[in-house]
Amino acid sequence: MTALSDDRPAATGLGGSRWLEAVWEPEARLYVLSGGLEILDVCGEGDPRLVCADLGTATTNSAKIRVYKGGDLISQHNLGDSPSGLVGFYSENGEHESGALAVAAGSSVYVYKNMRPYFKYCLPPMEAHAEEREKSLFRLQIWHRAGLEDDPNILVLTEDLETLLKEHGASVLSPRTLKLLGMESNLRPSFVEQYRRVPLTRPGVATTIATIRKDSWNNVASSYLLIGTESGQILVLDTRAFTVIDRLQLGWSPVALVGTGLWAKESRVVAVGRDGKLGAVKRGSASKLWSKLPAPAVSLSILPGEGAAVAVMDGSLWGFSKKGARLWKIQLPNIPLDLVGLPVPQRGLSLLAVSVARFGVRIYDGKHHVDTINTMEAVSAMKYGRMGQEERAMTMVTVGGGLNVRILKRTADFSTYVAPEMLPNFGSRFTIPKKTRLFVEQTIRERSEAVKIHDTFHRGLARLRLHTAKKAVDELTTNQDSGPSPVIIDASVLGLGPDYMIKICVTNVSDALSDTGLFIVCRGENADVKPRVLNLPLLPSTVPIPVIVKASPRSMISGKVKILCCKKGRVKPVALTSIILPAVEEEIQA
Amino acid sequence: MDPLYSAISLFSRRKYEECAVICSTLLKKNPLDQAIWILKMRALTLQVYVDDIEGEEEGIAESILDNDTIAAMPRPGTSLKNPGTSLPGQGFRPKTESGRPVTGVVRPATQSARSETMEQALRTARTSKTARPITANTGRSIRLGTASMLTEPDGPFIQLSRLNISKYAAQPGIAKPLFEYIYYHEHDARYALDLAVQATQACQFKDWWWKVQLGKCYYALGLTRDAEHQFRSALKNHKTIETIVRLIRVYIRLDQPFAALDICNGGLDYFSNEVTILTEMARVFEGLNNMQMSMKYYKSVLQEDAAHIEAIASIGMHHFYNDQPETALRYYRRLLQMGVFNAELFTNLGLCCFYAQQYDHTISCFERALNLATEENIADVWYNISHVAISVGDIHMAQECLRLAISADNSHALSYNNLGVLESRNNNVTAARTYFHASANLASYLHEPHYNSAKLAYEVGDLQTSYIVVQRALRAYPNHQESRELFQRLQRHFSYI
Repeated sequence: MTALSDDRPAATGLGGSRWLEAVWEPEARLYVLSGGLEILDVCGEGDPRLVCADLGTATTNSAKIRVYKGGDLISQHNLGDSPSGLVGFYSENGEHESGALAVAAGSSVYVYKNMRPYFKYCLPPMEAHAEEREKSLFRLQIWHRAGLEDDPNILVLTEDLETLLKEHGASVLSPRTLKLLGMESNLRPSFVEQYRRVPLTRPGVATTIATIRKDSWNNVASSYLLIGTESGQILVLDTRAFTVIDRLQLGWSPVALVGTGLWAKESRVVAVGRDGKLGAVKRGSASKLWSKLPAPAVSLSILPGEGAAVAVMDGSLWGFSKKGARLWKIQLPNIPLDLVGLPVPQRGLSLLAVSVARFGVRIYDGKHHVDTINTMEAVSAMKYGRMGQEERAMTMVTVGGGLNVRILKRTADFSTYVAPEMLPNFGSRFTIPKKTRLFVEQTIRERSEAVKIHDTFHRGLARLRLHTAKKAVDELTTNQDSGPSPVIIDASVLGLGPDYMIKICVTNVSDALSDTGLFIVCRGENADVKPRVLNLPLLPSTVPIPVIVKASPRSMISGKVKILCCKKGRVKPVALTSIILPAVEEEIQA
Repeated sequence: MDPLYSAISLFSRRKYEECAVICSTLLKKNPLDQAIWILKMRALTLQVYVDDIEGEEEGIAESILDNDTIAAMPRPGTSLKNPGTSLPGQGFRPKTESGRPVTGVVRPATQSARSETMEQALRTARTSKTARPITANTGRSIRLGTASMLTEPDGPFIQLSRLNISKYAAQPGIAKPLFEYIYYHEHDARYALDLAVQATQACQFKDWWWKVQLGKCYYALGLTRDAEHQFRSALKNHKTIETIVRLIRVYIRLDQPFAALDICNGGLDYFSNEVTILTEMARVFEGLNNMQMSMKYYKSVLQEDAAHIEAIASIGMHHFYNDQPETALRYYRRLLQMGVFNAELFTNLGLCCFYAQQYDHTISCFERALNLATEENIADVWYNISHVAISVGDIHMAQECLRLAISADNSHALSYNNLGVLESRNNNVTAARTYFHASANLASYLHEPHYNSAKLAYEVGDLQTSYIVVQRALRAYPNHQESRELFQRLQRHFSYI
């Protein structure tokens, strides 16, 4: 098999596609960006469905949550604000019914259970920008003191606020200021009048949402919500009581988060910022900046071994280790649009799928390109996971609003490249067990008492040698001719009983033809053997001659059968062997 | 004293025979007394109550007439029948007749051959005195049953054919003891099944106990898939270790070791560190030739139950074949301290001492083993002593030992092979060849006699025979390096021609 050359979009040379087309709905009118897809068992029926955070088009400016079963839209729910991300989570370990959906939109996180609104979590407000507060306070106070119809004060106020907007950008100003500045001048006084006594705050804004496992590695495990905020914090939200259990200080606002590990043990949250900052933060410690990417990041995914992969807008894909060291960087043929992890546990693989504009979805195993999914349009968001009954489904939403689901074949094999680092030290991988401490201690004893050990062993050996020789004489030569026998016999019992077959192989071991007048006698202790005596033909050298006799035990008790090879005119047999007939089984009644 | 009271008292003191006698006399007076009837049933059942989970053996009916075979060529490493395809171990363990690696202890179903040919199936197991491995499960049960019936002078206690099963099935107090009586005492799985089916209907399929019993009956009748269904359904109602273990056995019978391991893992979630389940896992991994995992589980068994003989023996064995005889020695010594006292243990101790260079204890261990040996295992003892003799360099003694092994057990293939090697050293080519042939005929699963025979033929110049035989060696052990080299050399020879 040949690997793909880097800039050819077709998946030729890979022995056919690894993906089966399941759903292609070009007119789904879904507009989803990275992080806006989730596959979740919304009803707890064991039938996971696709949930999308649809941003809507420019004309129909309303964001919606849409739930799909296969290619069919089941339900949709309007959202007041544009969603910045959605995740599914479980609040209890091992309970499918506890599945819920969290949508981060604006300054709130909406939680849905069974696709019904369940809880709305409002992010804690941030302090307004100091200068803005001061100025508005100052102006408003002056204006307040000066009297109600003091118009110029409002003019000064708006001017000051406009300079502030130019200096710092809109993101630091409170919505009230922005609204004031966006109003027509004749409406401003009433607005100021209405709001000037209310303290100036800035609502917290959720920029992204993710989950982290609480204390279990099971498939259905309770997790905490991670909410990235504009103020550079990550809020860790308990999913039962919806209280903030921890705030991780990042210092810059994240746009994508990934939680690795277990929160209860060792966990790490990897975050990537709008300006290309990539860093990680651990529970109870300050954040650590891993790298500053040359361009804004598109999407973030975890790598096996708790590292992270980032797709960057300049068309590159970076891999980082869990300590933050850069492992690899590959150049993509075009700009990436989304990145998701593609675990294939059946093959022990953890792949990465990158959606690349004009090139479909490219699958990487680490830095090696292994496959490409061709799509009609560029894919703007993807999600891989169990959908319906299919465990390995890749859901893709295209830029044009189409919905496409493909299924990874069970036979799909991604081993198109051989890991080169395996080859050179293949031979040296052979592990040899080390000699244990016990062995070393024993060697010391051996060295100190060498003479004694030697003497004991040899005394014993001599005794054993004598015993063996005696036994051998007893067993081997009492009933047969002494000296090495020219004929050997081996016998085996075949059958289930009560009639057995005894297969005897007689072999002449000498180089010449055997003597004449050899015959076999079978002596059964407790069995009838037929025939009892068998004359043997002339035995050629080394060819085993099979002889078959029948034996049937007389009673339930097993008996020995002695097989003797004798020569006419001699008293003692030439060779002797004995076999044991097995006990007979009771006949099974039908 | 009231005779019923004394019968109950005897029953609770486990004096079942006396209890049954009193019950019989009481029943003669009043044959319709249900309390006494049940008491006698219980007493008779408990006399022959056995742990039937451990005692099963796959018989010829299962191995030859098996219609549950899923795939004739299972994927590598997924079958117990073809374990050679899975991960190779570190050291080389000898194989049993089934081609599986030798286990640390002899359990039912580890020695019997999963035979490929009819002849191999019909051949009696090597050291067995009975025809046990070649009979069907049902046949053995019947034998046990008849033996117990002989002791009753007035015929069987309950005439099963005259029993109104549907009447008793509706009475849970009677149905359960009656079932155990039929299953354990009468060994009639069909009647037991009949009773269980009607009883489980009577309780609206809600009683897990009946489901387990149904599964047991199906399993005994060889309907493994139905048994699986029942056990799974029972597990849904109520989790017990017995059900889990029985389900594991079903999957092992179906040759689905990974399904069995899944069940084990699921069981461990409920019964964490349960010794029986851990042992099952260790056995399955051992059967799959995955020794690392097997050892891991045996070690966790030992952490729970420090006196678990099977785990100690298996770990000891693993260390022995992993070139750490001194560690193995420790485990076997522990067994000795625990009171295991037989020829096998002393042989193992002797071998461990010998290879760990503790020579002063070696011989005494072997002498004890010889004294303790029975007719069944003396051949193995002699065979192992021959190794000591070979290592010492006493070829004459080694030959004598091997001949003694053969005379004790005429089908000791390993002894024939080694005798052949010794003969070929003495340049008795003809004798050596005969011994190798004998060994190969007896045990085609061994690669050594095939390879030796091929090598001998190659040296003599009989390339054709050598080529044929070396292929057999490679079939027995595909990764045997010397056989491969010989095979390649022969191929080169033939390609020149």
